[in-house]
Amino acid sequence: MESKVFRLKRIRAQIRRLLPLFFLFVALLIMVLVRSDSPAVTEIRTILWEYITPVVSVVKRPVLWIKSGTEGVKDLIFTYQNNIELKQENQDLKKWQLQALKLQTENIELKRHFNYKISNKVKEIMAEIVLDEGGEFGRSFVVQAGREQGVKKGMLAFGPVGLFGRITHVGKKYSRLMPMTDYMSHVPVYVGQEKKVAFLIGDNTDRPYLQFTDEKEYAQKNDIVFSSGYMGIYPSNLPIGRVDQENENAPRVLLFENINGLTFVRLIDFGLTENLLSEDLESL
Amino acid sequence: MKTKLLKNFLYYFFPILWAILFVCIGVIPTRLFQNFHQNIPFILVVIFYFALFGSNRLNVLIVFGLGLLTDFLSPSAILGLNAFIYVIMFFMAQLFKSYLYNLSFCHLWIIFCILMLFVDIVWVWLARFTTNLWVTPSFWFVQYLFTCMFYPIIVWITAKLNLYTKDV
Repeated sequence: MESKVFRLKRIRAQIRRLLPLFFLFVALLIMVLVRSDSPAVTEIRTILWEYITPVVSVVKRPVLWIKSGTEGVKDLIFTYQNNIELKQENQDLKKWQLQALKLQTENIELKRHFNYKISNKVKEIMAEIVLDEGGEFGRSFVVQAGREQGVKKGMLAFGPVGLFGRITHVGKKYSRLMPMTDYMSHVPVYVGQEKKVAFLIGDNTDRPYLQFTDEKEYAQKNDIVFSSGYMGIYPSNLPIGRVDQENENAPRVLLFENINGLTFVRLIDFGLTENLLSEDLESL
Repeated sequence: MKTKLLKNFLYYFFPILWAILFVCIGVIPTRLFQNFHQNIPFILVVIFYFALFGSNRLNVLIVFGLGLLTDFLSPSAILGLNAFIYVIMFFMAQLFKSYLYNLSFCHLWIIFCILMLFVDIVWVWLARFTTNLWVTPSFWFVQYLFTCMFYPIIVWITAKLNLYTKDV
C-alpha cells in the first residue's frame, strides 16, 4: 500500500517535471500552426483589448506624467532657440498662407466652372488614442472609438498634419489602427511629380521605405510621396510624406505626420471600404 | 471569515495579478532610440522570481497563459513566441532551483543575466525562423540590457510585496 502511494507520488513528481516540456511543445505547435493574422485570432485579440485597454491606460499614466514633465523641462531650456525657429517658421507659413488663399480662390472658380459636387460619402470621427502599443514586430494604436461610434474597418487615420494609417480591427468601444510604419503596412504610392509607382513599406522605424515596382526607378531627396489609390484602400493623391534619405535600394520616407506623441486622430471614411472584399483588406 | 478569505486571496493571487500588471507594462513600447520602439520584457524577472520563491502560486500553466496573453496583446506578434520564452525562463529557473535557492541577491542577479542571454538568443532565433525577420542587434542588446538593469528594482519590490501578502 505504502509503496503504491510512494509510486504515485513519484509519477506525479515526474509529470510535474515534464510539464514545462509539454508546454514548450504546445507553444511551438501554436507558433507553427496558428497564423497570427487569422480571423479567429484577430477576433480574440479584439475582445481581449476591450478588457485590457482600460487597465493599460491606467498603468501608462505615470509614464506619461514623467514624459510630460521631462518635455516641459526640455522646453524651458530650449525656449530661446525654439522662439527663433518659430519666428522663421511663421514667416514661411505666411508665404504659404498667401499661396493657399490664391489657390483656394482658383479652386472655387474652377469648381464653379465645372459644376463640381462634393461627395457626401466622406464621414469623419474624432477619437482619442488611448494606447500606443508595439514592439519588435509591429506597432499599432488603440483608439477610444469602436462600432458603437460608427468606426469601420479600413477607415483612414489622420493626425493634425496628415494621413498616417488606417483602422485594422474594430471592437465595440475600441479600435486598433495600424500606422504606415508597421511591418505589415504596404501602401501603394506615387513618388514625385513623375508619379513613379512604388510601395511604401513599414519596417517598425519612424521612416518607412519605398520599393519601386520598376527596379530602374529611383527617388530623389524631398520628392513628395502620395497615395496612388491603387487597389482602392487609400484614395488617390493624399500626401503622405517626403523622401528623406536617398538610397538606391530603399529610399526612406519621412511622414508629414509625426506619429510620436499623437493624442487625437481623425478617422475618415472615404466610402471606399464598401467596394472591397474583406480578403482584400486582410491582405494589405 | 471575510478577512481570512481576503488574506488567502491576496496570498495566492498576488503573483498572478503582479505578473498581469507586468504583461500590461510589457506591451507599452518604450522609445529608447530615436527611431525604434521596443518593449522591455520585465515580466521575465517576475517569472524568474516566482519560479524560485513562489512556484506553488505561479505554476507553468499560468506562465504559459501569461505568455499567450502577451502574444495576443502584442501587435503582429507570432502567436506562441512569448509563451515559449516565458515557459523556458520558468523551466530553467525550476531546473536549477535547488542550487539557486540559497544564492545571494547579487549571485542571483548574475545567474538571471546569464539565463536572460540564453532566453534572448532563443527568442531571436525563433523570431527569425517564424517571421523571416532578423531582430537588429541594437534592438536585442537594449532589450537585454534594460531587463538586466531593472532586475534589482523589480525583484526588490516584488519581494517586499510578496512578504507583505504573506504577513497580512
